[in-house]
Amino acid sequence: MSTENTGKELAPLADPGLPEHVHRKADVDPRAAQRAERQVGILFLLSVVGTLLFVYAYVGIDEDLFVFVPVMGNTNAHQLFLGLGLAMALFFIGMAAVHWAKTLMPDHEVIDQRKEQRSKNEDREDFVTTVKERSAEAGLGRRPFIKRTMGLALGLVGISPILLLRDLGPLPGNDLNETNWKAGTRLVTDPGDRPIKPSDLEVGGVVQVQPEFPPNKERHLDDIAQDSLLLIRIRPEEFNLDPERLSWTYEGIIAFSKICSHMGCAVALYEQTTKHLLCPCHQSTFDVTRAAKVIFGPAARPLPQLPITVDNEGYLVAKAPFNEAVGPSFWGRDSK
Amino acid sequence: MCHNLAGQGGALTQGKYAPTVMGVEPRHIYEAMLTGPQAMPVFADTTLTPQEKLSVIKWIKHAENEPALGGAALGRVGPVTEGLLAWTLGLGLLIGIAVWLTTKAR
Repeated sequence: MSTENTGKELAPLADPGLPEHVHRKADVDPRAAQRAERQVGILFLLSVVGTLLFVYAYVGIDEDLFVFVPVMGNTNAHQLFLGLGLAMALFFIGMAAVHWAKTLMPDHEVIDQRKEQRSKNEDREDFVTTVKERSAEAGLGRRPFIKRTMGLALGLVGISPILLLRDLGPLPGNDLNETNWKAGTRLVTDPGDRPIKPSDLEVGGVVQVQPEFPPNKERHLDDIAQDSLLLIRIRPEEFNLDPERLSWTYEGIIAFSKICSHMGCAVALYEQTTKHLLCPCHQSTFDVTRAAKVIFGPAARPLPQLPITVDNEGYLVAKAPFNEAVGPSFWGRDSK
Repeated sequence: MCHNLAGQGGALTQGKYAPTVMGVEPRHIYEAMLTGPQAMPVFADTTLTPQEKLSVIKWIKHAENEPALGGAALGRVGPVTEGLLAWTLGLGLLIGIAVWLTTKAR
């Protein structure tokens, strides 16, 4: 190591220059260059094969033909070779170009000096003069009426889209907390719209239920979504409920909203043997004997229970609306 | 629901599963709906009428015979198998190509 004299300035490092150029095989050996050329040629020809395969697949392969492919099982041959053909055709063009550039195209370093950024002084002066002259000719300063009306027009058109913000509304109000279930609404089967008698439902049975709609009113998708109900029958002695919740059931029949309290999927996978309701989306599991208490999974709250009873004709009706909002949590939800 | 929209079968809790309904005799499908074997609930004729049960069987048979015209059905379970193929085969290929593109030529 050299010791430096503190009085003397350090000599600047000499420019080390570029690293030594490493020559590729094709630069040095003419046979390697020929081999590379042949490889590029073969790649281009593979692309041609791909195109031919594509054309053949379109005209020659029957749409109903299925072939067995190791990882994918039975595959439609028409689709498979259309895709493979086009993929080959396009991919090998790219591969050929890249291989050509890598092996044969010149790859020595080229130095290009950086040009000065600041424009020449005369160019700058020309620019200022032109701007001044032309804007004087345009004469906005002498025509205030044009200036003002132009400003008015542009300003108004610029702020008019604010009107469209109205489409962010209307506010839902109490919509999210209510469903079409009211006291006295009859339960009807989901396909069929038939009212249900308790004797229709066997122990271990499950029915998809919607509220009865008057004949002139139509069910919209929103209604079907929020009103969806599941009716489950178990033996009354299997319930493990407090007296209030027990009074919401009828002879072993219990009704829950079908909409998962986690993310809103339809919870309809009922296991008769364990009395568990499973949501297929994230596997939240609800225990029917304990008022849909969550026993597994990401759901934070049990499914809302609909109080049911029987009307004077013997059909199942709702005793009251749901005690809470159905579906996933949202801001402003009353949570018990 | 439990058996998957294309009848391929589905998972239930704690190791139980709903078997595939493909290739099952219509009579057995009907009986299963009526009696509710093992963990399957009971669909009594008073709540799911015989006509509606027949509609279900018709749908299953139709799905059985429908060829996968889109290409590879991959077990008809949708994103699960498709995702597996994309993440292993697809991404593997893409990474391989990226590595090749950036290697220095010799």
